Order: sequence, then structure tokens, then C-alpha cells
Amino acid sequence: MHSEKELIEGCLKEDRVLQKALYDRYCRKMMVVCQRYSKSIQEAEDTLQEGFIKVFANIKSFRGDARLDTWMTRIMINTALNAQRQKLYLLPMIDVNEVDLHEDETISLAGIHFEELIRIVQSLPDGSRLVFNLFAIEGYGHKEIAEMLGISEGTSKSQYNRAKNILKLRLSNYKNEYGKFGEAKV
Amino acid sequence: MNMENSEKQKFEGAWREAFHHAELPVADAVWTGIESGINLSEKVRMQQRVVFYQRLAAAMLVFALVMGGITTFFVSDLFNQQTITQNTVSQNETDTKSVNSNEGNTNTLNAAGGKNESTNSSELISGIGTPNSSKLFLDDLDKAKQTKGNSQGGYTEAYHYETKPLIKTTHNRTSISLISISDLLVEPEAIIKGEIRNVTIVRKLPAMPASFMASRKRENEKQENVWASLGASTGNYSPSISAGSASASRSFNQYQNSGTLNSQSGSSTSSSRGSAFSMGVNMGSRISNKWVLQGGVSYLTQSINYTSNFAAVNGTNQSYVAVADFMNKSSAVAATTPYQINSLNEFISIPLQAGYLLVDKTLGLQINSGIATDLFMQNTLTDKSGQLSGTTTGTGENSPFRSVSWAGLMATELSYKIGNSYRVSLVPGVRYSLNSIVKSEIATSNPLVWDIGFRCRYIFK
Repeated sequence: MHSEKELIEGCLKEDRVLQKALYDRYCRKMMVVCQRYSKSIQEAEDTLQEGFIKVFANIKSFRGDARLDTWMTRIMINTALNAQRQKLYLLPMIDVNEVDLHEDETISLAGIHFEELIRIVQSLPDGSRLVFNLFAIEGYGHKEIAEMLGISEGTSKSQYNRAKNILKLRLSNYKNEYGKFGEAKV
Repeated sequence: MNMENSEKQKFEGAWREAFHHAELPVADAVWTGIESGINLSEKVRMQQRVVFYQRLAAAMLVFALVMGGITTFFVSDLFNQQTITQNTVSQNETDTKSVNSNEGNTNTLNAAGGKNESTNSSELISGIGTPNSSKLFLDDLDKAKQTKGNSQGGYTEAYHYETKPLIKTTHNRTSISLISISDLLVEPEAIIKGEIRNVTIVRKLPAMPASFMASRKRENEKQENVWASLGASTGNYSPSISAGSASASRSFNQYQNSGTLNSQSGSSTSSSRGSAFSMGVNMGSRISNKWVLQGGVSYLTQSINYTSNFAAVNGTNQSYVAVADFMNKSSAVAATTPYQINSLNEFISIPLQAGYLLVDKTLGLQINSGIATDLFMQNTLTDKSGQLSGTTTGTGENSPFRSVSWAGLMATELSYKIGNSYRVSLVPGVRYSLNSIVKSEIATSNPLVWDIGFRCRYIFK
């Protein structure tokens, strides 16, 4: 088992064995990231492949300020965003004042396998899926998301609201079908 | 803002927690695609590097030619100036062009003033070794003179004559002088009056003064005309495999179709850089003042690492190392975990180079360019972990390697002369194979070597 430092140094030397070892260590985790931002597994694999090529090509720019997997996740997200950027032009532009953010009813995610959750996220419309991932999971604010995607802050909020409504609906359907929901509030 | 934070604490927290340590399986094809992408980017980088080296070589050649031209121009110009300087005595004497009279009296022609002056014989021009007996070079004068009529005492002849170097003895000094008889005729007053009688031709000056000939002789003695050198070099080696990115998928399809690898993805990829080493002997000869020709024979190795995920299997079920680019289609293969292979190519190289001497002094600088005929000896594949048996491939019909290939050479040679018979030099250079070292139906590989060498030259007298 190679240490993270050895893997980085090996990748800097373009040692294919250590590049493969780095890939083997992080590919499954990065696959989750890519699938969250993609519509399908094939699209996620394309993003993962492109993302890892960027990782190996730009490993010299990794300064060690953050954890390696955090840095790689950032690259995967950017790769996914670039792939989806053209779809963002289709997002409806909504003024911030029109967005109604309200507290949601109590819904639990307990007992749902994350693969099912990924499928539910993948079912979101493109813009809503990106905003939901960036806001809810990565933790960015709407202002940052608006700058990253080149949309207005209001559009980001409205897309997020839309995503929440769709997710609530899908989770309710899932609950009705399998009866696995309970305690936690969403 | 509070609402946003509140949302994050509930909704987002639950989702983030759900994906926190999540992992999903990834298809093997993704890594194959990544490898292909890396190889492709390396190939693009290599192509950019080759273009850079080509431009660098072109720039070096242009620089060498410009420097050579400038050097030639200034050296010849300096030589002319030195000749003229030597020919010119002092300011008072500079404009004086003297002609020795038959009687020992001299009619000195002052070109500046155009006046005739009489001086004693010590300031006269005389033939070499025959002071006071040399007169005008009448044999030359005879050839050049054209009669234009008589005037002033019967001697009026115009001479059209080329500049000839003469020796002028001035105050016991001998210096070179250029006299053009036509110069004598610039001013009508400059024409020597009176008849020249009983002129004897003592000696015609050689085209090159003796003193200068002596210095040239010394230079010739110093010049390095033939030499032998012993040298070695080491540097970076890139195989420049054109089908590098495709080799993985090609080998996959190839073996899948043959049924020997079935559904396994067999691939082998090379590092972007390896190392090269060469050592050999050279003979060199100067073919002109500035050009030299060098040739010889050298032993050349090119080493690079591969990563492969399969091994070849022989009839006794023994596994040995295999690289997809260079192996026979008929070989049986077995999938393995990725392992590293060292590939060592050995050649006998016969270089022939022309060199241009930019600086030919104790410290020398020359630009070499030429071609080398590379005779392939063998390729040795070794498993770096030592688990699999190595293999050696020579030349022949079944060999994936060409027996003969050619490489273009370009180098700069910075040298320093030690004593009269030795010269050591540093030789940074580039070598690029003009044709593929492997047979085209398998892959193409045009190795690029960027190295620095050391040579010790023995100069034959």
C-alpha cells in the first residue's frame, strides 16, 4: 500500500504503476461525485475519465494545501460543470424576489441506499441537478453558484427550490411504494 | 441568510451524510480510456517538443550561418585592414609612394600633394634582398603600360596597372606596401620625368610577401587536418511511438479476435522518457578552411520502461515479459497485474557529419550536422520486479525491428585544445530517427535522443 505522498510523487514522475494505484484508490469515490452530476452512468464514466486525465496532467499544481481527494473532487466537479455548461443556457432566469424559500415537511432519508438516492438525483433536470449538488452537498452559497455557472443568484435559488420540490415528490413516491420513510426531517 | 443556513442544517445535512463515504464500482474500460488519454497527451507533448527541437535546430543553423558569415566578413575585412595598416607607415610616410631610380636617386611621389620629392635611397622601394638595385617593376610595367604619346622629355607613358604589394624599406624597417601604378598617374605631375634607361629586372615580387608567407606557413603547421577521437554521450530518449495511444486498444482487439486474450484488456504503455547512451570512435578531416567531415562507428543503447498488464506464454507454459507494440501476433498471452518492463535497444551506429567551424582557435566552436546509419543489434525486455523471464529479440524476418534505420544528427561542439596534439570537447546534440525502427505494420517509432557527449581528439601531424 503506497502512501499518498508516494502516489503523488509517482504521478509527478509519470510512473504508470503509481498512477494506476492512485486511480484504484480514489476512482470509486470520484465515481459517486461524477454520477451525482451526470444524467447516466455512461456520462459519469466519461466525466470520470476526463477528470482523471486532468488530475494526472495537473498533479504538479497540487500544493498539498487541501486533501488530495478534496482537490480531485473539485476537478471532477469542474469537469462535470464544463460538460453541462451548454445546458445552463436553457435555465429559466427568475428574479430573486420571486423565489419562495420555505421550510419543508419532515422526510427521512434513513433506510434508502445511496445508489437509490443517486438515481433520484440523476432524475432531476440538468440545471436543478447542478445547483442542488453544489448547494446541498458541496456547500456553496447561491452567490458562489451563480458566479460559477454564470447565472443570476435568483436563478440559482429557483433551480434549487425546484430541485427540492422534485426530490420531495420522488421521495414521497418512493415512501408510498416501499414504506421506508420515517423520522428525519428534510 | 438565516433561512438559507437553516435549510443547509436540515435538508443538505441529510443528503451530505448519505453520500459521505459512498463508493460505486467503476468499469475497467474507464482506466483503459484514461491510459489512452494520457498517452495521447504525452504524444501531443512529444510532438510539440519535436517541433520545438526542429525549430531550435533551424534557429541554431541560421545562427551558425549568420555567425559564420559575420565572422568570415570581419576576419577578411580585418585581414585587409591589417595589410593596409602594415603597408602604411606613418602619417608623414603614409601618402608617400616611392620609386627607386636607377641611379640611386629617388623620385618620391606624394600622392596627397601630388608633388615630387627627392629622398635618399634609404627610403626607397627596393626589391627583396636587393636594395638599391631594384627599380620599378618593369616587367609588370611593360605588361601594363600603354603608350599615350610623348611629352616632357620624351617620357610620357600612362600605366594602367593592378595593385601589387611591394616592400618598402624605410628607416631600416621593412613593411609591405601597395603600389598601383595607375595611382602614379593620378596627377600629371606625378609622372616620372626623364627617361628610364638601363633598367634591369631584378626580381618580381611574389604575390604574397615572404613575411606573410612565413606566418601562413606557421598557421598551416598549427592547422588540424586529420584527427581521431574517442567519445561517449548520454541523454534523454523518447521512443516517439506514433501508435502509442492506439496500441492498448489495438492489442486488445487483436488478441480478442485471435481468441488468445479473450475479454481481457491487454495493454502496455511506455514512459514518456528513457535514457540513451553511446560510445564510439570517430575520424575527422578538414576539407576546407572552415568545413570538416567526421565519421566513425559507435555503440548505442536506448532504454525505456513500459507498464504491461499481460505476459506472453510459450509452449512450456512459461510466462515471459511482453510489450504489445513489439510482439508477434501469434504469441499466446495471459493477463497479469500491471508490472514494469525495461526495454533496451542496442545499435551499432555509423555517423557521418559535416561540421562548420565558427571559432577555430585554442577554444573552438563548431556546428555539426549529418546522418547516421543505425544497425539494429537486439532488444532486451526485462521484468524489473524479476518475477517474469526476460526476452531478447534480434533481427530477422520475424523480428518486429528493422535491421537498418537512419537518424538525422545535429550537434554543437565546444572544444579546447590541449598542447599540440589533443583537443577535448563537449558535444550537446539531438538525434532523430528519420524512419521507424520497427516494422510499420506493428507500430512506428522514431526515437528522439537529446544528449550531451564528451570527446577526446588526437590530432595527427
